[in-house]
Amino acid sequence: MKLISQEFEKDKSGKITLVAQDKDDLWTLYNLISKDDEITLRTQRNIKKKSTNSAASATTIRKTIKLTLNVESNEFLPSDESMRIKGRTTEQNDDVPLGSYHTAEIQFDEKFTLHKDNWDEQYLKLVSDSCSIEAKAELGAVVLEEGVAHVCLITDSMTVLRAKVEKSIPRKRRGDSSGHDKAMDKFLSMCVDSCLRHLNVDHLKAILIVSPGFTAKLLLDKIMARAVTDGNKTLLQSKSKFVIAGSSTGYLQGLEEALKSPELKKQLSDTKFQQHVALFDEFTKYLNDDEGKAWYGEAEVEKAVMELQGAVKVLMITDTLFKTDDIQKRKHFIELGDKVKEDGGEVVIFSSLHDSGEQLNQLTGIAVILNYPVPNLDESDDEDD
Amino acid sequence: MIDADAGKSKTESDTQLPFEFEVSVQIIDRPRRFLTFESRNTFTNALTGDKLTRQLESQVSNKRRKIYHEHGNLLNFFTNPSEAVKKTIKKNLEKSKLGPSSDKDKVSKLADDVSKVKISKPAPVKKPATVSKPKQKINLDLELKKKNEKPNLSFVVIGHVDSGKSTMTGRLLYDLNIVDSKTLHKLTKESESIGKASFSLAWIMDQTSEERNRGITVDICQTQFETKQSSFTIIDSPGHKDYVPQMINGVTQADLAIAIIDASSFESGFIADGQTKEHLTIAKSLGIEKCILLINKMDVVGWSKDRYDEIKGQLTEFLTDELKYVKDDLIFLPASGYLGDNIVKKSKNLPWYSGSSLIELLESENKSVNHKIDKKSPFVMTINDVMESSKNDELTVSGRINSGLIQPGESISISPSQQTALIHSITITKSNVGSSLVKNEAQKLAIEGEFVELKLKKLDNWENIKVGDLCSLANNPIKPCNKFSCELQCFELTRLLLIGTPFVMFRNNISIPARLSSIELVNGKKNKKKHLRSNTVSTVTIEILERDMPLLTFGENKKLGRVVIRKDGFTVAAGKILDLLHE
Ligand SMILES: Nc1nc2c(ncn2[C@@H]2O[C@H](COP(=O)(O)OP(=O)(O)OP(=O)(O)O)[C@@H](O)[C@H]2O)c(=O)[nH]1
Ligand SMILES: [Mg+2]
Repeated sequence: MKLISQEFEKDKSGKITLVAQDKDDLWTLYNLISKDDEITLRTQRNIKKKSTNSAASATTIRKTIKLTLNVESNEFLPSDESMRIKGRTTEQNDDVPLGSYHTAEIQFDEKFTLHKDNWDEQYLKLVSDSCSIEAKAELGAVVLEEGVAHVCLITDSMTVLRAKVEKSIPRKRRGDSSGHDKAMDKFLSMCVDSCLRHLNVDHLKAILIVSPGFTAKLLLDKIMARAVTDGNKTLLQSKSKFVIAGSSTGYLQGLEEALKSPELKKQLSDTKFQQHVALFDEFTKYLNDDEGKAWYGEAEVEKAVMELQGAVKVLMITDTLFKTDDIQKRKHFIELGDKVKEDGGEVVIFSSLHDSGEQLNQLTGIAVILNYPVPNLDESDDEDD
Repeated sequence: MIDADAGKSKTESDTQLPFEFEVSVQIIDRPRRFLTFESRNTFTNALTGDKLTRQLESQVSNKRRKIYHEHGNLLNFFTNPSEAVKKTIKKNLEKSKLGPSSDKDKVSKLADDVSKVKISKPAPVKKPATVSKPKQKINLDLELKKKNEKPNLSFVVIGHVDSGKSTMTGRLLYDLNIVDSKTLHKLTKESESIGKASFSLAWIMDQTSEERNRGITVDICQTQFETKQSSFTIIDSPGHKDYVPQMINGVTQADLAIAIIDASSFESGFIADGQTKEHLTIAKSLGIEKCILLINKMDVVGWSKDRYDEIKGQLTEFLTDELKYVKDDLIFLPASGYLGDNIVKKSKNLPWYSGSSLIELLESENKSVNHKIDKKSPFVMTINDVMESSKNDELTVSGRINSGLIQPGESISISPSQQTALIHSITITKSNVGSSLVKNEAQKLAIEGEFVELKLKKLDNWENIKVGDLCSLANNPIKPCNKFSCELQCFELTRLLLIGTPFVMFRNNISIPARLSSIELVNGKKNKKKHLRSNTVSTVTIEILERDMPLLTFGENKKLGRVVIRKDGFTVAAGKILDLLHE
């Protein structure tokens, strides 16, 4: 995101002018914009104009207008890579009456201004993180097995399934496997088509191809063979960007499985995505070992953070918990985070648009890894079974 | 004035459009024969977490479900855009800032293309179940008696990678003269030419270039043969860790397992994550109560009785203590699949072994199994392969009959697509011992346990028939669902099984992503946690992701009512379906 200007008052109210540049920014904005904020942006509208020729009916023209909305709600559509804001106008102009309802979409490379009554620390962090100049790494991934493939894009904050390829492959038979071999070949060609259509190799940091057995290798060979026949120089030069990894399944969960393998762990350790997968895995490992070093649930986490000073090594929390209209709740989570940092711990915010974040969400959305085991953290409220 | 783009209801309906847009537009290049489609939306459920999106998606999926019920089939709907949907696509393309949307001509071309895709007619909204009578009136008891004179026994060959499963299976078929020497000679020459001479027997089962070049089996391979007294189905399965899903498919079609144990490297398969243990655990979890343990490659260990006894001891302990096998249901024998010792011919190298050869064991097992079938049990068959046909409303499917009986002329319902079809003919493919001829014999009747090909006619749409679908009589359709309660046994885990974390669930020959949605009881006690620990028995609710599946409870069918759960390449739990939770 690009920061154009900012202006704050003593009471923490104020406005920031920003420009969104990619889909990650849209997700940031989804989490940034909340109810009763005021947003000013430009948007296109069809305006009906009475024609000068009175016989003809009204013609519609496309016009860019300025809207200032008091936000009622917003929504993010990952499939669409769009973020829509719904609200009522607070300023009047020629085309827009006051107090009318509108839905507007945030446009890439268009300025807009957001006013909040209270820019808390978490909001400011969202802005500063997304405006940092660190290059964003976008990965491509294909997870497949015989007969099904998933083509995805992975950014810092989301995994987007771009395409799913399915083809039924006949069984091999004793004495004849030609039906199987032919169908497999066709299936791989379809995967190559889909990859080329949905993944911009030039633009991506790496492309992971993940499968059980040798299917991933077969696909890579096929992609490269295609590059040769098509004379696709960029693709040929990008060969080193492709990384092959093993998984036990061609379903999407195979991606996370592959990321936990030592090879990929090392190779992608600088991506947020991989870090979160590894952290969640570490958490579940502690949970399994039952040393009392890992806990989830609001009550448990609260107790660990507030009552056991310095016990928390990492606080894991999903962006979903912050995205609430309940200001007190939001404040509470921010305080928990502050306390953890104060005591020397780390706070990691998981994106719910990654699988790891979704999984954390299913476990109440908040969890901690402790520096030392505290076996009976949940004692007070869990011994009545 | 402004084009009113405001107001609640409008926004809501807008949000549903991208879904249709995605799915419909992506199928343009779909080849005629195979079912393919691409969509980004199918998995968004698992990828998104925020409340609004989820709400949205539940709207979409509610809608999807509704469509499903109204039209009988989801895919049908999407591959066959109605005028309304086409309009939606156009409108949405125009609105969307993505891709080709800005170009109006392209947009209409796309929409036209969509309509040009060769589309089969949609399933009717509601079709009364057509129940047709068998073509031919037969004396049922007489036919059943005939069948029972040569009952069919199905067995799956399992075990760690390279233990010699395919070689043993090839040897069995060769020594029974089902594979002739000409064929083996050819395979020997071919395998020699790529430096894999020792795999010539395995190549009888390993067909694909992939399998032959790598020297490992990838998918199961099934063969049927008849001896003088019995009929058998042998299923060779892969041993490599990555192909456990295929092996599970094999197990679900078997009555008995033959575990091949490599005497020369027994230990490598027997460590914690070796496939000897995993395969045996899966077999037991899927209801295989009887096991032949063939200690193979005895030639490599100098036909040593000590080695044999050592392995037998360790296996017995594991199988009876951990897997709770009854000792009498375990049969051990020493053999060499490569040389043929104790497969069909008794070995001269193993004077200390006085038991039977493998084929003798199989013959006696076949006799001891109770093949009596309950004439009243409902007909159910799992589709295991789908064979192309040139006609749109015809198709041949193959599979094993899970229960009941069926005759040509009867009509069936196929779930989850809920289509009906008429059974034109039923055939069984098998070879006779002593001949390499493969016969394809028409049947007047087919019964539980038989592997058959059904030629179907009057199908609504063959494109929706998939491997794993269940067939039942037309007046007894199986309603698909995506949630069920389950008694779950967790094995030794390295990570807890958490609510919400996706895993792969296996039921019969289908594998599908699923997750725990709640945990009711753990070891008989009420539960408040969101996780399951190692070696627990619990009552849970499992939610199938991505689509609905035709399910039967354990009470309804002892085999189809079982599931196995794998995560990150490990078999972590097995369960019995208690109740279906239809919405
Ligand atoms: N000496 C000896 N070698 C054997 C015997 N059985 C199999 N082999 C060898 O073991 C190797 C593997 O045999 P396969 O039959 O492919 O093993 P598999 O269990 O089918 O392997 P996967 O299907 O990949 O799990 C081959 O080189 C065989 O020749 C045996 O009884 N004695
Ligand atoms: Mg094999």
